[in-house]
Amino acid sequence: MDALFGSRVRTDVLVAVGRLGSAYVSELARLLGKRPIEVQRAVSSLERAGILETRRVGNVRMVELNPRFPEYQQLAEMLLTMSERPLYARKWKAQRRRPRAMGKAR
Amino acid sequence: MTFKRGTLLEVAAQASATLQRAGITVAVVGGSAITSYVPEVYTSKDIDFAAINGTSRRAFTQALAPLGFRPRGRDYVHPNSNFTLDLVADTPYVDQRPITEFEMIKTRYGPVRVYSFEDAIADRIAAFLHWGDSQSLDVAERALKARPAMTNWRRVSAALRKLDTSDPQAARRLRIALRRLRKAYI
Repeated sequence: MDALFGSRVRTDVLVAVGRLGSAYVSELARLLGKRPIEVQRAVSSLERAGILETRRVGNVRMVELNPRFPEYQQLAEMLLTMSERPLYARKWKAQRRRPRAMGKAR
Repeated sequence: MTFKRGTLLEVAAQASATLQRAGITVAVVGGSAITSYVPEVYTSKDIDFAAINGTSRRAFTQALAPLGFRPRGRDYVHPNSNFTLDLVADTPYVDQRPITEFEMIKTRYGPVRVYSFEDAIADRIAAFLHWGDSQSLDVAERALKARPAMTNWRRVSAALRKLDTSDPQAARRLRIALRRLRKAYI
């Protein structure tokens, strides 16, 4: 399973992107407990393979699954299911992604 | 008026009664609704109020003043309370669905209007569907686990199926959420 997508880092990155929908490299690195350069390399190779795509938003580069990848729907479904495995689930269990209104103290 | 040891519901009840005297009807919504039902699962320190018949921020501020809550940023703080108050909406929505029916929970300071438990759960799941907020899914799952005997699964499931899943990603996430919540309920 580790090397399902070529390496452990590539698999982890894909599962995380499948879970989060979109994320930036340092966010992925923090979540996965990897160095940003490792994640960046994995993202680049997956982008070259046409599985991921990246786009710049302000100062950050957002990473997403490439919707033009032929098996995009099936891949997205599988990655989301994989993200529920205990190995991964604890990584995002406490992950807050909903927005916080401006001026909110906490 | 002392809030020092008051629970979220007790503080909400006192604020609700004070606001009601000024003609402002409120309901507890958002994460604080979950805390109202299962404080052991999720501790919100922020009481989100929806003024269900509408109000202005100015009227809200004036109505809360006798209770000692003062505006700070968008929150209202009290020197003796661990909880802050916030006016988040008039008609509250869970996803695209306006919520017009609430539970009335009794406290020693009077009743408080709160999202039904099912709507509170659906509200958390909406955050998972649209923002990928796994924390909300986790809270909803633990809330269901904490009170299965008091929960009607069909009502929970019906509330979840009203969520907007026109985006395929939201539809996929709903399938995951339903699986997790069903398991938590059993």
